[in-house]
Amino acid sequence: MASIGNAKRTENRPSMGAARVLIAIYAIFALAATVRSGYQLLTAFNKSPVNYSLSLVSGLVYILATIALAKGGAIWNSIALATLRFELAGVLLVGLYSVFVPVANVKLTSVWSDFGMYYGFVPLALPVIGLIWLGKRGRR
Amino acid sequence: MIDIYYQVALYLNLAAGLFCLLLGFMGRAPSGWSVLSLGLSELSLLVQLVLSIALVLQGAQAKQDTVEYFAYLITALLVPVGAVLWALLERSKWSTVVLGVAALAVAVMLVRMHQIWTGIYV
Repeated sequence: MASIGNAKRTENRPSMGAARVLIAIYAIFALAATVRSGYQLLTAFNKSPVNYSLSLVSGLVYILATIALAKGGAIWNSIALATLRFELAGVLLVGLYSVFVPVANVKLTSVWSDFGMYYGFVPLALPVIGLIWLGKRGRR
Repeated sequence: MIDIYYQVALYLNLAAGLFCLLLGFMGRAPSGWSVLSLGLSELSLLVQLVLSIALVLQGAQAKQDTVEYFAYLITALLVPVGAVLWALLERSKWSTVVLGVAALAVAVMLVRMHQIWTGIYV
């Protein structure tokens, strides 16, 4: 059965099977973060404009990262690299900031607040795992 | 959200997720069993949707935000569909792992929905 999958693969596409799982998690996260923050922005923008905007930006970047990881190839690879670095910087900077300037209400936080703690640290883990994978793929 | 049904749906999705992860890491391509378990996951969400609409029509509201609750529910409904489509397109063991991850993601979203409905954050 696996041979069908192998036959379809070309040089430019991601060929590490496990990476498919990473892409799937990215897709779910992109969907969840974008829908949630989009809804928050539409209904409660004034409550926490900076955090909700940050969440929407991160959601849209997750979408771009999902597509870039799935596509592969030189251009998409560099886009993937850029988006993953952006995410890692985002979660680290916002995470650090939120340690010093905590938000009282959990509902008002962004995806990246407290290093992504309210999302099971997935926002911190995803770019790290993704960058490691991109590094491995680049060396082959 | 009816509490007993929430519990049933939650454990069903956790079981489906672990089942597919196990099959995937055993090297199995998506089969009738793993796809069926994701079918059950989707069914559990559809029943949740019908129950929720019925509750809201009777005047019940989510403690936190009813619209946000339904946004989560509708988003969750897309997840098993996407995972099964993926499994049909690419029949490798990793697609089975993706099925498992999808069911676990649905379980997490059910927990969030329960938080939004009851207003209780653990």
